[in-house]
Amino acid sequence: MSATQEPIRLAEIFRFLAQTMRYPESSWFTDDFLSVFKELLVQLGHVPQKSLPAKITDAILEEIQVDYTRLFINGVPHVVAPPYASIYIDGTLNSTTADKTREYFRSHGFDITTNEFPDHLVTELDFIALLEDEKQGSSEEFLRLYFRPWFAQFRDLVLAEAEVSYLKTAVEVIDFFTRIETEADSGQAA
Amino acid sequence: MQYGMVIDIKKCVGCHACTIACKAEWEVPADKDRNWVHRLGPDNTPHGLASTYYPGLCNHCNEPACVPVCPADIIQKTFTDKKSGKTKTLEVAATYKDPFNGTVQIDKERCLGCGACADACPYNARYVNENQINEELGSEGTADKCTYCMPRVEMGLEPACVQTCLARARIFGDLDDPNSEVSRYKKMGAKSLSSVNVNIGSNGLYYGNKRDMALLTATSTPQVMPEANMRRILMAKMKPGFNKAKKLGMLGLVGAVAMKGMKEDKE
Amino acid sequence: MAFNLTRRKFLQTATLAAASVPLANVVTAQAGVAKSPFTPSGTMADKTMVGGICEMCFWRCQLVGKVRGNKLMKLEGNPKSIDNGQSICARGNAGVQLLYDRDRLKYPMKNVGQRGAPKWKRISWDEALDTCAKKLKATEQKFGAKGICMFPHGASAKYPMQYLEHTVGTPNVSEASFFQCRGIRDTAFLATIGTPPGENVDMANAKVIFGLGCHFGENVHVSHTKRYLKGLENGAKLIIVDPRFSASAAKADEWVAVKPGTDTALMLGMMNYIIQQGKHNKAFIDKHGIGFAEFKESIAEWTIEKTAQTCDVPADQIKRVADLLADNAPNVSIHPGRHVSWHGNDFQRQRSLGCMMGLLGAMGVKGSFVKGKGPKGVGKVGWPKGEHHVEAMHVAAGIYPYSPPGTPTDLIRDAAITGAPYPIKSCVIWGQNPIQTIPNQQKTIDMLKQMDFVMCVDVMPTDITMYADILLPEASYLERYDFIKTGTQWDLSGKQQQYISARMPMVMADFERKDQVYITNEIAKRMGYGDKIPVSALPEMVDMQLAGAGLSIAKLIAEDGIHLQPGIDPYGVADDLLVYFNNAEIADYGYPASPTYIAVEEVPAGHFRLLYGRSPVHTFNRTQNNVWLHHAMPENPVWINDEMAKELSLVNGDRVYCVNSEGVKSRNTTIVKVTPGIRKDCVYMAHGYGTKNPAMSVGAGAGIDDQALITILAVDPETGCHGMRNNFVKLVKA
Repeated sequence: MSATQEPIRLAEIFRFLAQTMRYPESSWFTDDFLSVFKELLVQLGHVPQKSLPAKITDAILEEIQVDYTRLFINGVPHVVAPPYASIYIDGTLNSTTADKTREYFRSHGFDITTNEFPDHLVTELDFIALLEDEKQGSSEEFLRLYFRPWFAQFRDLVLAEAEVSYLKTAVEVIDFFTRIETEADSGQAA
Repeated sequence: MQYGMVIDIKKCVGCHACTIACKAEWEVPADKDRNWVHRLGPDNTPHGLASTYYPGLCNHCNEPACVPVCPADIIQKTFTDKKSGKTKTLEVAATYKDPFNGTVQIDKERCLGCGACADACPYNARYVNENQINEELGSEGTADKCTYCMPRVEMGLEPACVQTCLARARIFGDLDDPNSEVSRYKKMGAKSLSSVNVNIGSNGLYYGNKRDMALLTATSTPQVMPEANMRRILMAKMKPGFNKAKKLGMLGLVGAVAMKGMKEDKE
Repeated sequence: MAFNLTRRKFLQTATLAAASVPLANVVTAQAGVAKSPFTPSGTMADKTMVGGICEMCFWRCQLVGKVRGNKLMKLEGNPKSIDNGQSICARGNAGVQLLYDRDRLKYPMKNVGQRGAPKWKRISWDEALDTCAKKLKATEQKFGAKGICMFPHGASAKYPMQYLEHTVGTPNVSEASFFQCRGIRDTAFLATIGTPPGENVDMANAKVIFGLGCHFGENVHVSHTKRYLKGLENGAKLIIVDPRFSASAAKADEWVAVKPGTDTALMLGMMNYIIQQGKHNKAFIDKHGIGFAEFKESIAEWTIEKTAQTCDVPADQIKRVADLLADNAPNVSIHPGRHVSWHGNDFQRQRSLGCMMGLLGAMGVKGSFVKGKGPKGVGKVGWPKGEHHVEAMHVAAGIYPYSPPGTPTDLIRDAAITGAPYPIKSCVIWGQNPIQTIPNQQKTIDMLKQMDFVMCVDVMPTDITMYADILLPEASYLERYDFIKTGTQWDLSGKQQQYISARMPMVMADFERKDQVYITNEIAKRMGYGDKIPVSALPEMVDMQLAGAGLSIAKLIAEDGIHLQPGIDPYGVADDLLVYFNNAEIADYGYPASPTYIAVEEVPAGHFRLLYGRSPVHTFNRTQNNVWLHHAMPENPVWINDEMAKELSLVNGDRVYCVNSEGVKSRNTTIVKVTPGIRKDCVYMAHGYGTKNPAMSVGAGAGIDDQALITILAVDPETGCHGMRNNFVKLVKA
């Protein structure tokens, strides 16, 4: 496979990040997927932790599935981090925040295609990818007004409670790519 | 015209449907209320053992305590009488009493979310929705309360709480119309929850038998006007100055700074 | 972990060159958002969906839904309804928050941990259905169909229940609505007046309404409550017998603060007094009564004095109440009650209520016991009966002759735990939460622990779901077709009309929630009963049922969700009506032929009898996680008499635990409500709080689960139903 030297596009990264937050299934949660994930970490100047699996086995997949279910779907004692903005902003599911989010999609010429709620983490990341497809940097407003206000709380819950490091790491990478960077940040790093 | 609501606690069974219908209709946050039902008793009263309910909501008072304390900049607002088409222009802040239908309303677009109005209400009928932030104003949230469902009423519907009430214990109408059902109740003795110190012309009236009314008034009548915060009073008095500031295009900034001060003061 | 560079820097340098696979190649899923034209939505003018039938409780009011985009915003009573009208109760209004409950089940799940200490893994429907079918089949093959038991509840459980009962052929089905609720009422009235009574009293047109433990207002069924209120408005006298000053007692002319458990004695005392006064309806009794002489003799011992002493009620009041009933007969509503599984002596009490109706001739006439005449023709669709017929355990043993349909709960639990008379090794739980509906929770847990397989189908992660091996997410009543609701106008004296309505979805089911027909059929196919499947999908079933009445889903939608037709005058007494004051058949089984008071255990020193009842914002334990309802009444205060509170140094608002006489302590605390409105010998709390499943993030930890404190089992000997008010508690400061 030939290595591309073109700079990576943000849209592609968001699309990839959305994938990381889907329910892991053997159809896509493969060694290939994992190697791309690890490479992304390397590029971020981060040596992948040993706790990330070397290879995907049935047992490892199940471990991640169980943790995913506990964190995001139905857990004991309770779902740790429901991946919906409404929960963090309104306290209820599919409430005003979900409506506003969908309105935002629609006012930018998009609409949801699944039976997920519009303010689900994956849906929002998909949307960001689409915005970035159209014009680089055009997701800034959405990130600031819609995504970050709840994602920071979500991230903290996952980082504190997740048992498998894959999910923790994925959330950290999403955090990195969605952070609002000030001019000062950029200046410093440059 | 003065809209008002009578609650017949003789009929009310305390089912709470009114409070939930309101939440659905107006997307009120789960932990906040535009209206409420407090369960009272069983307790002894001079008229015997009683147990009843306090279904409360904004009383759209004749002299609302919430209106003069609003520190938002004053604008000229033109009101239209839905029936006659007459208009009237008043100087109002972000909350005001409608000169035609008598309801007290909030201008959400201009509300600073300071909570002064909520503090001032002796009936605790207002809350600040901290999730509704107006970015342009730099607001802390938006005050919210019962509107007597004016958008529904204007469409010819009953207020949501009235429509859902299985006991038909909530009666809504014009207290200025002597032939209305609410006026009939008033003549029969329906009365507001008013006391010596809290007597601001509440248009929410209650009707019931002696023992239930005794329990309701003893437990639920506000006895003191909430102590108004000095800074808020000052703010209210500074309003003419605000008007000038507005003309100079400074209000947004001044308002925001002042509001921050008030918020700190509150804490 | 922290990334020591900025995004800008990263984008300038990163190439992901080392990865063997391009980024895009490992992204396989379709995006959840796509390009779409912008159409601004209206605000006030939300779309109205017709045909909703509520199931926040089981009264089933007719609804419309206000839908914005694809989201349900609000539920309202269907303006065309002649039953509830535009009114719905708090729970009905809060259906929106069941639909969008944050903790609602979304996907099929497999328990990879322990029963009771589950660890969930999301699985596919195929895997879930394969597992359920394989496990149930294994039980069927090894132990016979009777090795499978079921705990169903609600409209959606009917179809799978019939599959298991009829086609697979297990008799081991226990419905909480019968064995922990109203079954005793139905069979006792069958044995007295020949029909299960429902709550069919014409209160709107009554001169006197008599309620034994009825707490209308706390127990809210819209059209029923409308009848009650209309009666009061029309000047009906209200008599409420209750140890507590309930919502109804507060509106009553007579509050009879009876000693708990002695209600039958009160009824017998009043009936004896009425007979002694010669105020009974002799003409009615002559025409319709069976065994009146024996009955009269049998209750003669219940003098006013003895009754007053037994029931701890003033003699004057007993006379006053009896006179009020007799003097206004026959336009008197003797309410048959609803939840009646109280003390294990309940069949006799329910019989006494039926006898009072007969004594006063309070049947068929205005204001009395009158059944509305609803529409006919709605068809039935069901699973065919299999060849093998297994007798239910109580039938085989010749016990519980007046059991409601199904098998008494404790026979199932005992068989499962002991293996006798036979093992029960698979358990299907569908819409019921046996942990909070059946007394003695440990016994239910023991039963589940020994199963080879446990599956649950529900909308919420209730307590019982913690014990499932496979947990399936169901479409709620707002997301599916099913229940056909028929009836008449709410006020029986109004314009005679009938209605037929069928449940239709307000919105489509989100996530991977499925309805009962899909789930049952898929399991049936995999168990080898594919050829027995009666319908392929829910709408088909509804259309088949409606066809009998000349209707269809399409026709109902065209009629705004409710079909109305002229009705039939419900008043009048059938010539062949028989009232069994004394029923010799009951004696044949070894139980008293005339209603008889059987004393209940006295309250042990230092304890209170635990009474429970309903909160207007909750239906059983089903609604405790509803965020709107929870906010309305976040916990269930325990009521205690003011004088007793003083002795115990308890004041309003103190936090307490409850500890029962067997040493079981409540998991949570609640606040004390000190009031003169309850007797000294009991405490009271609303049922439906304190789930033990922390997955219910709103309801967990809120209030006390009364069911956890009900460990002493009382079983009504005639019916096999539980009595749940024979437990005693202390309040312990937290």
